[in-house]
Amino acid sequence: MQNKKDILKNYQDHKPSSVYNVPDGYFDGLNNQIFDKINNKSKVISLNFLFKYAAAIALLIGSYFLFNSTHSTIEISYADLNESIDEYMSFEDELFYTFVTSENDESMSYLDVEQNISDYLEIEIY
Amino acid sequence: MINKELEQQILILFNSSKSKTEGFNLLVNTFKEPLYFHIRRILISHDSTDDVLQEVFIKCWNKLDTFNQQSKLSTWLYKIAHNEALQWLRKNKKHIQSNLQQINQQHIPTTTIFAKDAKEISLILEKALLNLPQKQRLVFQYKYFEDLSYKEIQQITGVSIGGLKASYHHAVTKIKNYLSDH
Repeated sequence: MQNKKDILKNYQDHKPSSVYNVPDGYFDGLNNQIFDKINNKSKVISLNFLFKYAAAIALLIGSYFLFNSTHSTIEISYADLNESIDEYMSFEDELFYTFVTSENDESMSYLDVEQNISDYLEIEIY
Repeated sequence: MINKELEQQILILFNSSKSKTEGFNLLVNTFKEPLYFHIRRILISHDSTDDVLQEVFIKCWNKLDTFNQQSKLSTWLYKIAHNEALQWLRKNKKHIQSNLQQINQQHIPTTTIFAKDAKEISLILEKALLNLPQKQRLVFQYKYFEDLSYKEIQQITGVSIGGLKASYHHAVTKIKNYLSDH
């Protein structure tokens, strides 16, 4: 009877190809397949380089035009600004303009907090 | 085992621009079968093994000129194959389960182990391997099938020699038990 310790020695010469089936001629064609992939990858890499250079050149040209273009500044006097605001206010929202500029308007009465508290106490408590 | 003279010849040919292709062809011819079956034992299916093996050789083509010869060329190649195969496993966890089933479904005749032919014996051993945790399986493969030293396996896997010895010991014990039961 063979000892359990020696069992593994029986397997030393075993061939994995008897378990793992390999397609016929696979190893013969492998070198060519690898070279095909290497050549394809190098083409892709060179195209990538081309795109990178094109992008860099486009960026440089864009930057040149951006920084060298003449910036036109608009100058306006305070009087003109004031006039345009007034015009805008009167034109856009006449009601709001009236509200903001009125001094004794009843619409502002809610801002008189002390008066409001005394009114409330008088009505609700006393 | 790949001898040192052959490795040197490959490197000399590869590092000369005139004979680079010749050197690479010699490298592929030398290593394609051992690397194929090493990866195949990890990934099981032929298609995934083919993908990974080709990727290994492409990496080799791109990086061999940076190989500093601090380890054997075969160790360097196994390290690339090891990393590529494990990376494939991480990306394709679902596939590996169906691949394992393919091997497990192969029929083993019910004769005793000493009456089996070579193919049956190989199948039993491969099934025994599949029952091991991945780390133990890989160490067993390197040590038993590829006949690599612990130092070389350490260079490939990055695991300490003590850890490798423990894994190999556990693997051998489990495989022996499996074999004696079949």
